[in-house]
Amino acid sequence: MPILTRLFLNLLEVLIVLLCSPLLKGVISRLKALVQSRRGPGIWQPYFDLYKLFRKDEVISEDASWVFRVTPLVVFAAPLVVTLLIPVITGYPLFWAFLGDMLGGGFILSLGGFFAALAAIDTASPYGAMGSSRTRMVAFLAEPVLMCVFFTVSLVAGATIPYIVNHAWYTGEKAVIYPSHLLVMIAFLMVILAEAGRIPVDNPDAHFELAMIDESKTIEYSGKSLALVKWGGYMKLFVLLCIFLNVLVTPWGLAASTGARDVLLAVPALMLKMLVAAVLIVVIESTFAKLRLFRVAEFLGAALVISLLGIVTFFIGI
Amino acid sequence: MVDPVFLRVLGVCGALFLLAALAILTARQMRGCIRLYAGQSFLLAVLAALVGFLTGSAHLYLVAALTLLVKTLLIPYLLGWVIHDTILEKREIEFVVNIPGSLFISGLLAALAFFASKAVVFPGDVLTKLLLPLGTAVTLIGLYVMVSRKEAVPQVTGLLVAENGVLLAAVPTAFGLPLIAEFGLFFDLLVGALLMGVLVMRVHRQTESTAVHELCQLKE
Amino acid sequence: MSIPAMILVTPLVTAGLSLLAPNFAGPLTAAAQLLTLAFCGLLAQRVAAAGVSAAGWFYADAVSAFMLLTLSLVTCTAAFYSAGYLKAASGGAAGRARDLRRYYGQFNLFAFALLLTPLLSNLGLVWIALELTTLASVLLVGYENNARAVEAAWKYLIISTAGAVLGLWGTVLLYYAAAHGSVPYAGLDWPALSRLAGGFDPRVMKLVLLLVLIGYGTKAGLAPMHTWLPDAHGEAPSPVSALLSGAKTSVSFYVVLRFYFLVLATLGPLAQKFMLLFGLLSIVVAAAFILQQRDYKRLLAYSTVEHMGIAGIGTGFGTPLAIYGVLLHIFSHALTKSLLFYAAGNISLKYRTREITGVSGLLKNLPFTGAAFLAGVLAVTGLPPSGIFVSKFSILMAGFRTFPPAAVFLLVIVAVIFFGFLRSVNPMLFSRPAEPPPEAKISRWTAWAMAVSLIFVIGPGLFTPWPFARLLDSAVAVFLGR
Repeated sequence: MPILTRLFLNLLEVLIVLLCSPLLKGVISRLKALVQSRRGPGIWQPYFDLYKLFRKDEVISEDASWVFRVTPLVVFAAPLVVTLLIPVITGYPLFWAFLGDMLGGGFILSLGGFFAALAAIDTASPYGAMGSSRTRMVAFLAEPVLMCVFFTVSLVAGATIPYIVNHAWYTGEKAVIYPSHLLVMIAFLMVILAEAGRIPVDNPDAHFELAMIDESKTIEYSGKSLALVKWGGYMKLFVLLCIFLNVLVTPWGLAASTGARDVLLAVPALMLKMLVAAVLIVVIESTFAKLRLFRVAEFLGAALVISLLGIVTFFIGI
Repeated sequence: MVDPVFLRVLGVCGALFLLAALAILTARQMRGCIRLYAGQSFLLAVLAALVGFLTGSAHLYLVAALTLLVKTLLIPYLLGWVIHDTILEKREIEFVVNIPGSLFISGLLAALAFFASKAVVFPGDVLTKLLLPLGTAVTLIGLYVMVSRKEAVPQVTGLLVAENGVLLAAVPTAFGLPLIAEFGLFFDLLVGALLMGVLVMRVHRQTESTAVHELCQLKE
Repeated sequence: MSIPAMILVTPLVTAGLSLLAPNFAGPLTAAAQLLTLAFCGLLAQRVAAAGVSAAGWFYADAVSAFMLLTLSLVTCTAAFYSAGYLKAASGGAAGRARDLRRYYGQFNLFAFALLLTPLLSNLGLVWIALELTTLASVLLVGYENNARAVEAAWKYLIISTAGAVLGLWGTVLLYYAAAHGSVPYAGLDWPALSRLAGGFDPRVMKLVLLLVLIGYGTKAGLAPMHTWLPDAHGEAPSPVSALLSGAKTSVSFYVVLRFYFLVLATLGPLAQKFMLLFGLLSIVVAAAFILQQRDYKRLLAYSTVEHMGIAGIGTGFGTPLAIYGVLLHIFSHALTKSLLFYAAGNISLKYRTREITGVSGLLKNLPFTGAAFLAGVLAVTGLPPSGIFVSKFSILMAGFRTFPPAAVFLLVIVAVIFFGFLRSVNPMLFSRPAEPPPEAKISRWTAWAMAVSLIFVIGPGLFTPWPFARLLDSAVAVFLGR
């Protein structure tokens, strides 16, 4: 298909991720509030928050270095780069699809997290340092699981490019789940909860600095930088869910051709899938309590064992 | 031939069965152990019914019904009734091997079970190829839970989980027991669970705690 | 009603009657067990004439008849002993009705389950019956309701049930192997299985042997799964210990034998090596612990481990002479061990302690019990004249022909155990008592129990009655197919 179309569609995907991730956050907050019998903020609230933040001034600590200034840009850009690699609305590879594979995508996302952790230490704030050490602990425990999940998924498809994996799972036996896939999906869901800082690993709504893990990266920022960091956080969750839904769980609903109708239909399909994922996250957040810090290791250890079992189950051929 | 979709459904149920065993491995609260066991027994009943449907064996429907009655309903209820609520509310803080280590060991045990079962299965027997490894893995994990816990209730649950695993391994090979013996088997399991509950209460009465790991008066 | 049904109904009915009339339960149980013994003898006669006796669910070949004789002898003497022991143990009072009800109800259920096991030919039903023996005896082990007894009962239940799970697994795999054998057979009937066993897949049978040895070997008391045995047999009341050591371990080993001979058809020498391994390990462990025992009931329990090990070794040797020795060993050990536990029970009643150092001047204070104890100790360590001497000798002779190193090792360990036993028991029997022990009434019933056991302990060492020898030979033929 023509190069310009693919380029356009790729950029369209980036735009969708950019614009729709605050909506996802808004929907999750609203649903959680409803479950808790509150009215909660409106689903468009994150947009207003971002707009408000962009208009404000910044205050930067004197001890901060260039890392502190660069990090918001890295955190903002990383998920966008990963968007180029994964199927968001189309089932066929786009312009930059072969720029990197799933492992590359995983590393780029980790890059964002790495810079965020550095920036938190950069300002010499004690809360930032605490939070960043905890974030690193969660991240390094989640890495092996991520790798195992990607390995299993790639083994099934015979390739590591997300589009090809999606294609393999999609055109294989439809509406059918293998036991190894189920195990891998559960492990990946646990990792998403850890990486995006949701319960049971971390409470995204709490503002208690001593208990923050993922939220600590936003502690020192203000104004435009805060807006960028927050937006980057929203997009990270959106991108992770995209990978989860479009590559692992429900590889259908993606545009099969470049026709305008297919592409336009794919967008609501994506929204629908995101809504289901949002409901799932809200159910998990409302049902479980936050784990104590040292039990996070057990949680992620369980995820690792489940993903390993997924690999072994796959090799046995069950 | 076996419908591949059915096979996959069986596989999913089997994977959940295995995950339930892992959940029991990491469960801290006593009552949670028993509830997870009830859930796992329910999955076992579903699996037995499905295999019965696939192979047209009415025998397995009976097994499914008995599993549902005895293991999902009666045993958890009896254990909850015999053992005091104060014991069931407790959480076990210390394990013999900590949870990540236990998870790792149980992963190894599951892998061992998978590879060992592969050698035993006769070719062409698809159901056994699917269910025997899962049953073996759950049995090994159940025995490991029994060995690695200090409290009485999780030890009992580990034993019950091991029994579940053996029954799952037996489902595709379809018992060679006469029908009356099915009742005998489940009766034995029921009475065994009841006796274990009674003994837990006796231990509690004698030593004010149910940490049976600490029982070491009899040595040599 | 057929004879097997009569054998089984009697203890069941007695269990019910004991619950209703606890104060007569003692003599009632004793009488019922005599009746059961008579029925078992009748059955043995019938089997000797016809080869097998099959009626409905029940099936009795020569091995079953032999086991039934052993078991019912032990349960009979145990019933007599209980009648005397409980009266004395409860302080001479008639005994609280609730305790008696509890004891005799469980005792009869235990006897029922024990007698049920050899009468079944379906290996799945055998599992159920064996598990029933464990369940019926758990609360008997914890009868005395102190911390030690409860700990023993807990260990017993948990470890035995774990063994049962493994045994069930082995049974399932056996069914699977049979269903896919060279002549497919979907069932667990032992006679049919033993005919077809040659065509089963060796890989599966290897797993079956391992699982059955570890699983049912737990109940039989083979090391390293024996850890529950000293605790349970040591803490239980003496008649229960006698039943556990004499009857339950014997019947568990019998089940192991049933499985073993199925596997032997496929695996051959490998199966023998496995059996020898477990047997040798058992006697070594038993010897190590016997040498440092301070509690005489635990001493006897470890001796049970040793003897089960010897039986295992004999099975591993595998010649007809060895199997003859093994079966005779099961019989003699059951009776000798029960005799020893009866004596130990009387000793504990008199001296109120289980420590070896707490007992002295036994022959002076309790002449009959002391003499019985001495005779039992000499018999259990293998001195003539005793049944155990004959069986050990047979096993050793068979061993020298098949696996000489193992036989030599067995001889050495047996000598070590002999030394250990005598060293512990000598001061108990012959030393001068420091102070006279408290008065205790030892009932006449106990003397009868010990006397009868003594006859059967020494008897086989002197001569083997012709029907008995023929039954043993048929039993060996059942296993070895000659």
